[in-house]
Amino acid sequence: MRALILVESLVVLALAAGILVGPPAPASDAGGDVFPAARFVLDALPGETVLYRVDEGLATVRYTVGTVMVGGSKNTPKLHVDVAMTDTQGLPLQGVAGGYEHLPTRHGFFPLMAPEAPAAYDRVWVLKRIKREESFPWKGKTIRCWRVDAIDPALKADADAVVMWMHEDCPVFGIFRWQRGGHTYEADWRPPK
Amino acid sequence: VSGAGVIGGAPAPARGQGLDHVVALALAAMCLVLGIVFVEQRRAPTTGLQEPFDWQNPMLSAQPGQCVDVATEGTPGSGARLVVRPEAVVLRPYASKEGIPGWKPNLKWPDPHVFPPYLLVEQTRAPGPQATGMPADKSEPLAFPLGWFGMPLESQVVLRSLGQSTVTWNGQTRRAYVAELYGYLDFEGSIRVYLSKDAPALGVMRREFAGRSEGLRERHAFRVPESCR
Repeated sequence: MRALILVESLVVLALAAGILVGPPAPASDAGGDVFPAARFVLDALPGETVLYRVDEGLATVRYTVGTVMVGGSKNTPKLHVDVAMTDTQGLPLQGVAGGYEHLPTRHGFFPLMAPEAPAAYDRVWVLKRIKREESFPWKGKTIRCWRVDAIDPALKADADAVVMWMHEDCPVFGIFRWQRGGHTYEADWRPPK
Repeated sequence: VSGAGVIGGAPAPARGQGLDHVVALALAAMCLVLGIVFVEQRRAPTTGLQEPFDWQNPMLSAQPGQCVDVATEGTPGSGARLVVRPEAVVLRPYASKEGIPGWKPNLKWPDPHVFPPYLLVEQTRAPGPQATGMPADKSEPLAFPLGWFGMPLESQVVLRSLGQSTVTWNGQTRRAYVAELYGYLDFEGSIRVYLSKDAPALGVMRREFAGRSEGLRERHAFRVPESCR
């Protein structure tokens, strides 16, 4: 009995000390889940490329990073992004795409999708929602990724929703799947083993 | 004497054991109560941060007439009031016929038709005796691009990360999202923006600037006034 009392006393003392010392510092800014925006197009390297198949057909869109300029006090960051497309027959589409200067300070981390107006900075996708997707089926696996909802002002008001699934390991924009204008774009990227 | 002692002392162990039982029970109860307090104390502060990540752009919910006061901490007279204009969220600037009434074209942004989609607000002097930094009649439209996390059109920033935190704002501790931005050109350095869907207009509660080379440190505090008039 005395031993029990001794053990209980020690437990009481330990708990009281733990309560007085208080909980560990809250996770604050460094804690919790973090959307790693800098690990998408901002860290893309020259030669990085990704191919999207449209609606599981022969039509494709390929983005390839060209020259990359790091920003500073004299200039903003800039990437040249080549865009190559094929039609539903798998034939190259001439003159439709080509490429553009991606300006992260204006375009953010989404691709600029207004081929009819390549300099349309006023038609960048508007970030609407970022949500953690704990398990998403992709290429025979289940991956932890991000679901990002946006608005594309280049589309009609009643059909301007864009939905993306993003992973920091996917090349160029980090987007491995997206839906826009009634079409689904799926990257050739496979998650790491 | 010894017999008396034995006889007289016989009940003592029983009383002692009874007392031990009481003490043990009391300590067990204390262990239980302290254990519950201990567990609750450790669980409470992390509850907010363990919620699933689900950020929604607060600027898209801005309504005409909403307002917020903003001031640079430690700089009396820097107070300004931002009031959402009737146009509020402009998703298609290229389709806007009038552009922005009152907009003064500048070299960087001469034409509102090619602005990124934006939230339009009117900046005026914040009411109050200390607000002397701006003439009383000074009022100008400001455009805040919808994807720039409460930073104005003239800023050159990129988002580096978006995380979660808890902040005390307007006297309440609440869950917040923290946008870590990086600025270029006129201001090169880190910018931290605390966001909440409960904050009107821009959705911003606080902005913190940390310049890269000049050691510039500045904080902008946002406050909801009692009235927008």
